[in-house]
Amino acid sequence: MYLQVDGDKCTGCQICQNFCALNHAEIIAPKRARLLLLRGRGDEITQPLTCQQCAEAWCARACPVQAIHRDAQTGALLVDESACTGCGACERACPFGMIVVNQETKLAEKCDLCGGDPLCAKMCPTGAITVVTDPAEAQTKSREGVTTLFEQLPNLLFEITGEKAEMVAGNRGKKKGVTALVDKIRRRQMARPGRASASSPEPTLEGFKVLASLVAPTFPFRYQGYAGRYLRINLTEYRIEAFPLDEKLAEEFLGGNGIGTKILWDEVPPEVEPLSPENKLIVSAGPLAGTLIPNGSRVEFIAKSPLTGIYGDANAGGFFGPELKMAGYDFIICEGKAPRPVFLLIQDDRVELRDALPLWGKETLETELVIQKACGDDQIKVASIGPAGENLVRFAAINVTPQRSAARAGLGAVMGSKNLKAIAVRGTKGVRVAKRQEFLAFAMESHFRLRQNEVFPAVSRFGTPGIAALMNLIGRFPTKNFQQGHFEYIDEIDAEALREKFFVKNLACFGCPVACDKIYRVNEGEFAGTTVKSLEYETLNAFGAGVYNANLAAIIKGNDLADRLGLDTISAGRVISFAMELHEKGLLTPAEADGLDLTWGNYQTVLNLLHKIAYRKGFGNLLAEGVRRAALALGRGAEYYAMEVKGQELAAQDGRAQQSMGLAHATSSRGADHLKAFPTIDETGYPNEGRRRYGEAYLPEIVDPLSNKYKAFLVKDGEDYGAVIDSLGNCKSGGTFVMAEFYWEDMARALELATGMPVSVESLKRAGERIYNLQRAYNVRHGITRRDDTLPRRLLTEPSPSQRAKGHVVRLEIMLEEYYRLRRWDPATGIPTRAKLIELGLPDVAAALYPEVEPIKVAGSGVDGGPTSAQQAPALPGGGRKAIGRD
Amino acid sequence: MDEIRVKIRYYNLLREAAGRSQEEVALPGPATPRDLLLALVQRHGPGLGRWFLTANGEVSRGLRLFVNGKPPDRDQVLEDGDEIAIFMAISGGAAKKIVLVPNPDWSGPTLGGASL
Repeated sequence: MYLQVDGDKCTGCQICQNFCALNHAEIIAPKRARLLLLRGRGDEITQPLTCQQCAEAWCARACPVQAIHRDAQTGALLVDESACTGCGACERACPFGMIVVNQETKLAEKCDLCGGDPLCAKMCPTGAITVVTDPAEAQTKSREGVTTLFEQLPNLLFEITGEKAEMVAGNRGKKKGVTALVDKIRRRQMARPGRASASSPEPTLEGFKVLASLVAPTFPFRYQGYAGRYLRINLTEYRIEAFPLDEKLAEEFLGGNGIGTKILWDEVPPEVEPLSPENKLIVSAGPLAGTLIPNGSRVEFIAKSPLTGIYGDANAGGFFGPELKMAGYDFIICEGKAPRPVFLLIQDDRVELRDALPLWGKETLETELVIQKACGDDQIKVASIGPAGENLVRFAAINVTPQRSAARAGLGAVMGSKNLKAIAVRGTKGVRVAKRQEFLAFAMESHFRLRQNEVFPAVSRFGTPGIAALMNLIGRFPTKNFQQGHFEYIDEIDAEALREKFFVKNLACFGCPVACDKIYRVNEGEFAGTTVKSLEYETLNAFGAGVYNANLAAIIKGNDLADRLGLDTISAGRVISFAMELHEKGLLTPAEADGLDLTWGNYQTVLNLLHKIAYRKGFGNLLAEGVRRAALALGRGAEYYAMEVKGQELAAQDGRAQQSMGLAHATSSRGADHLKAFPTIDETGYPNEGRRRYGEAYLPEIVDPLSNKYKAFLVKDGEDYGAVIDSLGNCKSGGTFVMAEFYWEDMARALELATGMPVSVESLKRAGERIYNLQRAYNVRHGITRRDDTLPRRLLTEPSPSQRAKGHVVRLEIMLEEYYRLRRWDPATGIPTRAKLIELGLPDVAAALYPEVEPIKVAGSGVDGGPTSAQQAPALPGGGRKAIGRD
Repeated sequence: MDEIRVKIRYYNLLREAAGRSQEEVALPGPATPRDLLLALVQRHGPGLGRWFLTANGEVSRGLRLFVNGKPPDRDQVLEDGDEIAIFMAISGGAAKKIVLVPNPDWSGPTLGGASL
């Protein structure tokens, strides 16, 4: 049998490589895989490269001790370990770089076709790797693919590393060129095991002076899945420190979002201004990030939000989270303010703060490319800010490789306020799991379940934009600044139109079989040449229906522009629709808006304003403050048109058409937001899943979008579950919410198998509740009470004019009452009761919120029973409150 | 019973499978949503049928159908002039539980016996 690869079908998810590595090398790490993944031209090309099991095997011929022989049954060329001397002759002979000598074992390693059932082919979700029996077929297709690839793109790798000239000069003839190129890629990507630091050769990074550096020590850690180590970066003093992860912290707050919340609580008290050096930015992967539980691709950013002044977080997919973990860090705390622009460069144990003056002023995608080039490594993953972050726009985003946005809450401005232009990470250490065999089986089962999910085909094909037309159908698609819930020109901007006119390629995040991301390109017209990744439902709404724009190419352009400038598309769209409505209502004069034509649908104005906002020019300077501050500054009743909760702009869910979303936006811990509770099973009604999750008793109301019944329960459960998902490093689109495949029991099992930590459904639920309550408590300390858990008056008083929602408002109060009761928060104030906080093992939080009450001792321990006050995860070293407070 | 005419709007995968975004269909009344689906399969063939029906002829659980903007009642009967939206679910949803049978003899490094 032979493996045949088809690059056209490959989404770049690395599932093949990582399953291969886990199976053969007992670690999840692309570099330990026995196949390669080639990427080029901004991920438009993704091409697996596998062993050909050549008929005339160069590796076998070159072997001086005849250690390589063909398996009679499978046809695989196998290495006889008892004979192999590790001399490397095979490695030098193979033209495809498919056999490598492991420097630890001194044995040659290559693809063995998994004994007849190749895992790469089995797990490939798209059929990009398949098993064929005819060698000619396999080799022709695979080699043709690769050869064509290199003919088209001789600079596939070198477009980034700048080594093209060397390659062309150094090799004559196509085959030799291909061989040399593959060899280079292999060395870069597969970096041989056993080497101390496997990343690329020592980068010179000319022009980016080292300001501080550390070779971080490694620490033993009780649980797998975690890296067991974190970094504290003091930007003011250019100080880098590495610390061991605290066991208790992992048990109680899991990782990602949970650990970030705990650090924020401990280290950033109420008096700290969000844009001051005393605010801290926590960049955090979870224990399942970089594992194969679909889809562990996410990274969390946590800080006090400059948009809302309360708890803030933002999350992104792609490859940054797994890369951070593979470099050997669970999280990074960034504190203080650098005297000049800097960026953080992490290459496994080597951590450096470098001068970023040459990067300052650059857009996000350019920043990423410049760093990759300077490091000579196209595998470096970057989180960066653009001009919007530098200019402290209150809804500035952090852009993450590849063009993903951790967009909400304005955390890009926090980076900007710290003069921290970017964080660049390259990790080759991989991720280990505790119970490998069981984990592997469970991961496989999870992938198969996801791929057989009823929702998979549509989500996979259309991504989040796929719901646009359906949300329009139910009247949930905010149009003209939430004046209505349906857009008359939906056919022109929906996913179907997007796919038909602009689709280029499917693109996946790390380890995800869904590949909801796509590359889109505008080929003609005024925006011809614009290429964008990660165009989501939210942006279709924000730059489309929200501003009454039916020009899809302009939305694509706006998305690309916002990403490059480093803006949250949701908030950016809402501030613009706010301005347009003020114009419509005669509340804004043209002079106040720099003479811009604010007529609904004027997309040139939208694009123009994105620039003005990012650079805080003219009218853009007002909008850069977000709708709440802009409305306050304007007065004249403008606040009625400010579609925000707690200062953050509403995402694209009109709660009048889906009551649970109304409640979700009101209670979310980071201000208006659909993603904390993320109720999806009642969007278009999903009785099967409602039954599976909650039982027959809750039907039909729980899946009826217009019913209020049980929605408090749905929202509370979603918030707790969502807090866990964001803490583990998993994705809400890749199996847990949008595709409601995995639920508490699955994630508990995944966490236990990956980490070895004892986890039950109950303990995981408590962890989720603990994290969410801590976020609430944090907000309470910042003055948030029940009166802030509300919605724009429009949604509470103006009946929807749209579709089935016609005549409905959000009936918030009755859901809120029930919500507080379920949460055991004081219904009068919305403050978590002392008893609830104690029950969740948060005695210090209870003491902070109820200082007048004597502290009491509590029983129980760890994730399972709730810690005693003495056992509670302590504050981290170097993070004492004394560091806070400005001189 | 008299013939009824209903207006169909296709979304996402079904729009591609039907090769159109909407159409009007006449069918003998009284008709249930299931009758309509069968009529559409007959009209458009297996391209659409593979999304509508499972291998044993049941309506696919991933198929969503709205009558005049809302999910049909259990005993819904279609009426003349109804507007029907048909789409494949794009949120919610669960696969049938897959049972994994691990091979007790399996001890790596290859997956040989694990069967799914």
